[in-house]
Amino acid sequence: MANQNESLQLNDADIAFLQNLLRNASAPLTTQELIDALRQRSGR
Amino acid sequence: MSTDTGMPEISFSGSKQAQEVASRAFAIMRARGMFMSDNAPIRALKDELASFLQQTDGVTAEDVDAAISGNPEVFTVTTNAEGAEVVMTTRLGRAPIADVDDTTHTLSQRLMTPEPMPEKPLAPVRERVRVDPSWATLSVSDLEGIEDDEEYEEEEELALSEPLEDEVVATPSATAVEPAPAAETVAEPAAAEAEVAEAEPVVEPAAEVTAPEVAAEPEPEVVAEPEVEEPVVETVPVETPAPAAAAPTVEPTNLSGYSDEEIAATLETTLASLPHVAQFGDQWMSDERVHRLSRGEMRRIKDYIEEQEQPLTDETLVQDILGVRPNSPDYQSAVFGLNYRLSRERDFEFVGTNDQRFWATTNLPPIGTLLRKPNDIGTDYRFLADSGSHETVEHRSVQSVDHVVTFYEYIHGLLPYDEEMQKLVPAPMLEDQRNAVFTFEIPQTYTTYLVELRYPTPNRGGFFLGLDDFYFESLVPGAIISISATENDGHYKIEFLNAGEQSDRLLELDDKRSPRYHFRPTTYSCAVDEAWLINEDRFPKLGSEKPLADKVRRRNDALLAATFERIGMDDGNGGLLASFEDLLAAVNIERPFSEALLREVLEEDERVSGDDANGYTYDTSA
Repeated sequence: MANQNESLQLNDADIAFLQNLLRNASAPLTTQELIDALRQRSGR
Repeated sequence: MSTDTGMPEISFSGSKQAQEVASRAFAIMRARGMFMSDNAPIRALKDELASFLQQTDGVTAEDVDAAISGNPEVFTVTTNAEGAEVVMTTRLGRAPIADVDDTTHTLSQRLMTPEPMPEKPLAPVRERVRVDPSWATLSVSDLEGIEDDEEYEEEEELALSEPLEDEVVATPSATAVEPAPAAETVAEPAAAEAEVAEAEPVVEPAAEVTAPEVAAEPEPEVVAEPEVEEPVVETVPVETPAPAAAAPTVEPTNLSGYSDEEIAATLETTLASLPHVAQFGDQWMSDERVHRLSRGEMRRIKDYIEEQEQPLTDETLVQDILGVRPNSPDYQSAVFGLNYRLSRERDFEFVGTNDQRFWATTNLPPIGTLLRKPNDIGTDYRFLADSGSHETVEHRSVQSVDHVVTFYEYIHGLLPYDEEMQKLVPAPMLEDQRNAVFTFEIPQTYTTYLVELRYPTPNRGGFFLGLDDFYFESLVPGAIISISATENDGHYKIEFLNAGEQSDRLLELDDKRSPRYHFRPTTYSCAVDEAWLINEDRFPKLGSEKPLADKVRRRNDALLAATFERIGMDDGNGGLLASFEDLLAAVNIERPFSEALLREVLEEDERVSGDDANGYTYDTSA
């Protein structure tokens, strides 16, 4: 469980994942869709 | 009589008699196969042939046998299924060749049997395009961490492992040997030996420089010899992917302890700082995939909005100007592209919400009243900005709001952007958004109005304007309305209660030449809050009053004094008496004034005394 006081920082792998996600999407993605994708990847 | 002119010249072997018999036998068989093709076998039973020759030429069977067996180039003797000997020849006088089907290579076999996989790729592996390191935002080691990107991994495998193996061992050229595989080989001698052993057959014919050493001495150091490496380092790009392959992969950040809001905030700051990522509202897209607008399309969009004389939504513009239909696969991309591009243009202003994205131009006529400038109205509502509720309130947290229309709101077609309305509507979609356009539907009159919300600024309060037509046609000051939200955060419904027809003399502002208040007989059918109804019975002194000058109406104490003078009753001691309810309704004729603000002003003013129960007295002698 992450410390609630600790501010969230995305690492380079997360950013590369997001960029790749956006590059492959044919339609715009909402912030919530990006959050869901990050959570799914994080939980895998 | 027919003459066979195609008789070939054949020289038969054997004695003269045997040659004659053979010639005669060939002539008989050729006559038998008169209509056959040149190479088709002509068959005759040996016994029948001998018998015929015996009858016609007087030769014996032994002579026939000797003549046939003595000329194997001309005759072939086989045995048929019944055991009888058969003599065969052709019209050209050559012994027929046994007809055997050649099945070594057939069309069906070619079609049905796939070719074996070539041992080496047919074409050399395409060199991957690499971005100059000075332009790269991420190093190769960062990209290696993408575990989910299978396509990327496959590409990496293809680009890294296979060409390098081939190049290292088989090709003696400068591009063949890189320091990276050499280092890898040193680290894993066993694997290196296996690689070298596998590649050995290929090496021998190809590489004269490196191959003998590699093949004879499978020790890894051989590959890493400096004389082989040196020319390589000069030609191969400095950024070799091999070390990255060995680099440890970066684990995804664990997000289990963070809320969606926290992740969203981090995403906003992180993605917004990246190049080539386009954002509009809460939508994101790779810059390279965003629909592009030409200058001509921009101009047509601007002209179209100004032609219509009202803000238009992004979907309207995409369909009407760009010609992209909602069922097109590019529709969402086109809508996003339009929003993204227009947001970067100075001639356009975003005045929409997340669900209803209106665009306006700077030349559009203003929405709403012309009686007072929007900035002045904002100043009148300053008390709303002072409360600061718009910074802390939870937007879209209530479904409906009930409101009583004051006289000031009525004549200007306004609604206050107070705390209740802030809870009803969304926050500004963009950070620097100054106003938003909503659609307000009145189901009872089957009409929909464009209503503009002016967001609060540090010294001006927020308010909605554009409802003046609705108010004049359906309501009176004091009417109770209910504003309810819909699923679309830019669309709302206003309803009012019908209460049967009523007639009264209600206050109006006659603004034809010199503005002046007067009471006029009015028939209305909406439900009203009596506390806010401004009629002649309640405020008889208001008739023929002029609106207050700005310098009076803007000062709270001056406005309060003027209101007491307009509606107060003489208490016999030089004071003017008025109830709080009357004061609140009357003060809202000139300017929006909240209940809290009025109480505050009453408490601060030393000339005022009293309370809600007994009314307030304003001392005019002080």
